[in-house]
Amino acid sequence: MRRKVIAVIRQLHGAMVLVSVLTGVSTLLALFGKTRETYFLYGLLILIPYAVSAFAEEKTSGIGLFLLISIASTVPAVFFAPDLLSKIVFLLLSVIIIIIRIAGRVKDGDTILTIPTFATEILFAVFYILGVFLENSLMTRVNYYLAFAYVIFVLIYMNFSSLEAYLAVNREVENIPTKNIGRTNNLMLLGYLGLTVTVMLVVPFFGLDKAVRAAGRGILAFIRWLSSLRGEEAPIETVIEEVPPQESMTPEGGMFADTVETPLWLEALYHALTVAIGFVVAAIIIIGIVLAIYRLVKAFYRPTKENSDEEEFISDSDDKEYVPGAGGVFGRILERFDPSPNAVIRRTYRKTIRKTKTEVDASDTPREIEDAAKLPEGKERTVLHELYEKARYSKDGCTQEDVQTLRNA
Amino acid sequence: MVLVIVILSVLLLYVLQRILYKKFWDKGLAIRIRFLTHSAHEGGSGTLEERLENRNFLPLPFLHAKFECGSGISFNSSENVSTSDRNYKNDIFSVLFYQRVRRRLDFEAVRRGYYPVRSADLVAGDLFYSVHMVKSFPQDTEFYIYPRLLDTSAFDQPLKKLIGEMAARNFILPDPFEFRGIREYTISDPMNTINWKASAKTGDLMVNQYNSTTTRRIVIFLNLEDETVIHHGPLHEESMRIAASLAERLLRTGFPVTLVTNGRDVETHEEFPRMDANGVTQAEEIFRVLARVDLKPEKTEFAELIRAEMKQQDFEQAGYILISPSMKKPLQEAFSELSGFASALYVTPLYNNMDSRIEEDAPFSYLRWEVKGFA
Repeated sequence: MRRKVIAVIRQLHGAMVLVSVLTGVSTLLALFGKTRETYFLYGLLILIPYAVSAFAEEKTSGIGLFLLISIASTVPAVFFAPDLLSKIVFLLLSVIIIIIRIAGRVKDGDTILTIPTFATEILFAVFYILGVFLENSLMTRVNYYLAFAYVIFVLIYMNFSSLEAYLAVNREVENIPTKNIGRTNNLMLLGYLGLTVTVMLVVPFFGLDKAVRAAGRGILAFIRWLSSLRGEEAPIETVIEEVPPQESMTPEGGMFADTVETPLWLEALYHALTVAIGFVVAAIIIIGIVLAIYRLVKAFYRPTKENSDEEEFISDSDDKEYVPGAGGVFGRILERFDPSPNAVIRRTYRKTIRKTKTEVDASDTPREIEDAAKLPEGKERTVLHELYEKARYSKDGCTQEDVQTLRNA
Repeated sequence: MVLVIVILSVLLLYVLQRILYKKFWDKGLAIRIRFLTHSAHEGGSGTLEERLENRNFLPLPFLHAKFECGSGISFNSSENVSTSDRNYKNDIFSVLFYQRVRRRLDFEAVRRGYYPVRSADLVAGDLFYSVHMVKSFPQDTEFYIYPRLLDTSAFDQPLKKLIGEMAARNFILPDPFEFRGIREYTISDPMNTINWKASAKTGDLMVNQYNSTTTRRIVIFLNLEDETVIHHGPLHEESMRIAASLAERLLRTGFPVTLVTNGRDVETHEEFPRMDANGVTQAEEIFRVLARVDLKPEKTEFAELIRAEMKQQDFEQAGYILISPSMKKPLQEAFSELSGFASALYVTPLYNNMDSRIEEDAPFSYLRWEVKGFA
């Protein structure tokens, strides 16, 4: 399962890099023809040669068959491209993809299209910043979502590939608890991913970007003030320009303004596609995390039995191998939820004593504690006393039947 | 800008998790290694238990437990063991928060010796396996591999002769029930032999020693000297097996045994003191001494120890068995001198191709013990 996830993420990495590059390419193409959204949507067809060449790289042994299949897969992207320039550009991109794949065959699979790293975030950040600078919503929006999703993928990839490498190195070790390692690793990874997603969702609301911009403006003002000290101030000229209405800029003006209005149907399709993809991905991630946590929690108290190790959960009240100073507040919190028979019986005993508001010394024996608490002599006290001593001092500890006996008493 | 800040936050989180693991991974972490049985004879077996506890909210997906012990212990699962002059064991665990894991490993007791485990290292990593943290935990467990017990039927006649000679000598010498000395209490001593005054003075329980009607004490001399510069390790090991087997047999049949050896302790490098044993329960003490013998250091000339023994009170009433591959002339002379006063048997463990250089007219009994191998 882990290896499949790694393989999927490696391919997703290349696809996301291509989509990010496509936002820049479609912006450039938009200078010469249709809208950038049009070129972007048609440009997504280069994912076909990307996917097909990946499949061909894996399944074909001869370079000839690989080239045949890969070149054939470029036909849809080239055929459906809206104009000649875009056909040439998409063909060029497809050829680059195929060349990279050939290099991958030679180097046994590792290319820029298949190695996810955190550095790829720089690519998304660069296109995002360019989009902000150019007031290009396509570049900003797409690269923002790509960066967001890519963080999750690259964290999973880093963790899983490191784990696979570790298990490969220690493959021959006897008694290695592979399932336990995987289970613990998945639990930690889920927790870490949850925290990361929370941080990514919450940070934009802190207004840090405003603070950074304000700091940037302050630094620029300071630099201008410093430079003004060196020479005379230039006279301030007020220029008033009347712009005829027919030459007014479109709302998303800037250096590379649209020359053709986006068709309504295309814009609607684009928005619908974005929302749908975002909704599906978010739903998959959330459901996946919840399901995984549920299964892991269910598996906590079921040992994997892959070796003869004995596993048990402990609490701070279990003093057989007590490490002083450990646990603290968290240990006491965990102890409240420990369902093991020993813990249940000891909690019941403590509650019974606490109800009498008796002060107890740590060195007191159970008999002394009960006498100090003035518990009435009788069957209930005897059962409580014996089960508490069994829970605290016996080698094997108590069973569920003992808990039931206590409840009955 | 928002994206840049988000990316930086994620990077910060990555760094934080590394710091969190580096700082807190070992809080509440403990490992205890112990041998479930304390001893076995060569060829026997034992069990080692590794117990890990993580009293911490940080789960550790992988945790290496590494320790070393002598190579005379052979673990059944050899994949996790790197063996050179020592055994370097490496086991992998995975612990969740507040979890204890116990693992038992069987092993064979291959070679005589004393095998302590004094420390264990734990190695763990963070969530992305990018950093390794190591910590040492002191341990206090040990295992003794005693010399293998041999078939001593070859000693039937020599022992019979030795004991017979002892009985004859003791009949001649006046031998009342008399006070012989004081020694430390052992569990097989009756309560009425406790000397309370001596116990009060020393702070430990002390008992009186008496000569019995017939003093049938057997002294086993174990000489671990090499005759030449060549060190014959297997011969010395066989000598210790013979000493252990004879001691066990004699104690079982009711003979008090004294062990005198010029072997040195593997840890203190001191020569072992003269050791008395009375009763089969004390055979373990002799085995333990033999397990702790280190053959490497220089040994005292054994002839000196024999002469020192001759200064003991009533030494003539004991029987003496000298186990020694070495047949040096001074040694033979000292033993001959002793055998003029007491019953004596000289046992030489030798390879097939080694010559016995015992004097033909020696006053002591002699037994050659064949050891497989070549000089």
